Amino acid sequence: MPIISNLVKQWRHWINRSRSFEERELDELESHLLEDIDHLVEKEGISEEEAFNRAVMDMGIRESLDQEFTKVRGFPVKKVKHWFVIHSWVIGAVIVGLLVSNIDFSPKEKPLPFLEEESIGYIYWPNDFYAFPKSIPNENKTYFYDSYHSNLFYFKNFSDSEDTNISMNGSYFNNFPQFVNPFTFDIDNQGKFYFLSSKPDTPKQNVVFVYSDSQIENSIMLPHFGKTPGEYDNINVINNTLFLTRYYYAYTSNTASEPNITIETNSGENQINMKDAGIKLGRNEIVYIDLDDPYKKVSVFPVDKEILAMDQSGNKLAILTCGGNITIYSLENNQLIETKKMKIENFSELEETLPSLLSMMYCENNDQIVLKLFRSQHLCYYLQPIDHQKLKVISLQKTDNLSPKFFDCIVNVDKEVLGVLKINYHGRERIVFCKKGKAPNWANSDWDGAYMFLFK
Amino acid sequence: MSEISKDLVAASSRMMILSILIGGENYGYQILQTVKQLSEGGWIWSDGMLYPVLHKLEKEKLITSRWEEMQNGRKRKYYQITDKGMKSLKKTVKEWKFVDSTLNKAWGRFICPLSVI
Repeated sequence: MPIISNLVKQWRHWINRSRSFEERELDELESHLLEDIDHLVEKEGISEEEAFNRAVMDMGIRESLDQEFTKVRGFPVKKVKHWFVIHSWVIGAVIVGLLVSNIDFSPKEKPLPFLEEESIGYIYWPNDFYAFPKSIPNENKTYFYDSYHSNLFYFKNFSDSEDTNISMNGSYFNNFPQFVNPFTFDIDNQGKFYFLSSKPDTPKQNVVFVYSDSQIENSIMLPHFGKTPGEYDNINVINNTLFLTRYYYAYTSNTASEPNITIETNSGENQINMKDAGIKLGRNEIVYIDLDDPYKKVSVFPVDKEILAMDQSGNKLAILTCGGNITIYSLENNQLIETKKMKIENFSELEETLPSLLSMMYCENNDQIVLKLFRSQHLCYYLQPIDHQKLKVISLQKTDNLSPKFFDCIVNVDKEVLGVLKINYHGRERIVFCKKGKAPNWANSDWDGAYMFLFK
Repeated sequence: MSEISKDLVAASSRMMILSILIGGENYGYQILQTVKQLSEGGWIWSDGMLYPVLHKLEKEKLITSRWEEMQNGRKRKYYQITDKGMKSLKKTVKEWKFVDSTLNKAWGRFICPLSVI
């Protein structure tokens, strides 16, 4: 119970960030939250923490609550009360002004400012998957890796033909018979697949299996890192360079006990240079390896702070670090060059929701970014650029009855709940927002059919 | 019944709450559970959205409230319908019944068979 008390206390602080609730209103919401938690624990047998997550989502979107309470009261009490004392004469003048003017203060429907509707087909989604989708340039397919079932699915995206249907065309690989525990994968700009795995007889030996046209092309042994591939949270391949990253588990309780990864010397003729041996892969470093010569060309790229999430698009890497900075690097002549730095403006708000791990979807076009929190599969934020240096966290979503598993993530923008995924569209990588729609032939899920929105 | 549209929920939420409170004083969480039960899940409402409606009704003196401390030390806010609330509800029920019967007549007359709806 102390954990829940603490979470509820933090939730209370979070929900009242804009200081527009009265204490008695917060008391009532808190009372409701606790009732809901008790009910969920008792009736559904879930843990208190899970019940808390569900109850918070049941409660609704903070901004909407804020708005509704303020509407009933007429103003955000705390702010206005304080302000009123100091500036009462100004208020008087404003009231007089309003009386003689004819200003319409009624709420207006806001359009989605950054979206342009293109009803370009229905979609059907594979079941659970865990990694963000990957797509191949110039090939209208998007791939999903379902690590739970060890399957890689793909569905066909749009083409220039009249056929605008997209559907799941099947499994690319079934159950990975040739691999042992493929942890994660990436697709490079040439459409080659890279699966990070471990060698069956020596589990600590990292292996990258390279596939091209559904056929295995190569298997590349990597320097002995001393840990299984599962210790890495991400791989990215750009121009035959493999990037390995660990994320900073900033919000989990076992942060302190997690060991650093050590690159160990490898026995035999492939021995790594001694000067490279013993490199510690910290959470603010990226190891990148030239796959043509993986034992000799190992580099460590330091980042200013611990890495929270990373994704690639084109020949660029986007890296989110603690504090909410997203830096974009391009890979030129095997060197990472910083090309852009953006700050998430209200990142502390995001941190307050206590995510255990972030995952990021980056799309090079217009620097579109979506973040997903793994504490609950349902938490997701869309980052909207305010200007060339700032990004704003748009929303925390609520996903009741929305089958969020069909999407990579869900965001809520101006009251519209949208499913999100990254696709290849006419040869260009895009982040696509899918709106709940009416698909006549799909049963069982409201989301099986959806209209798609693309960025302008 | 599948999901009811937001507009319809918004239009009938006040009447729904007053109707539930006719059955006796009640608190927010329980009111929501009753709504979910009655609508068999078709009434989609963010939990927190109930309270602004309750507060509006209270402001209009259609309901009153009181805090009560529970055995476990927690507090719970109970709402009761007032005489004014009863009168308002009676009036609204009449209006809705009139709308309902008019619509039924229209559907019977212009849409055949009715089961297509």
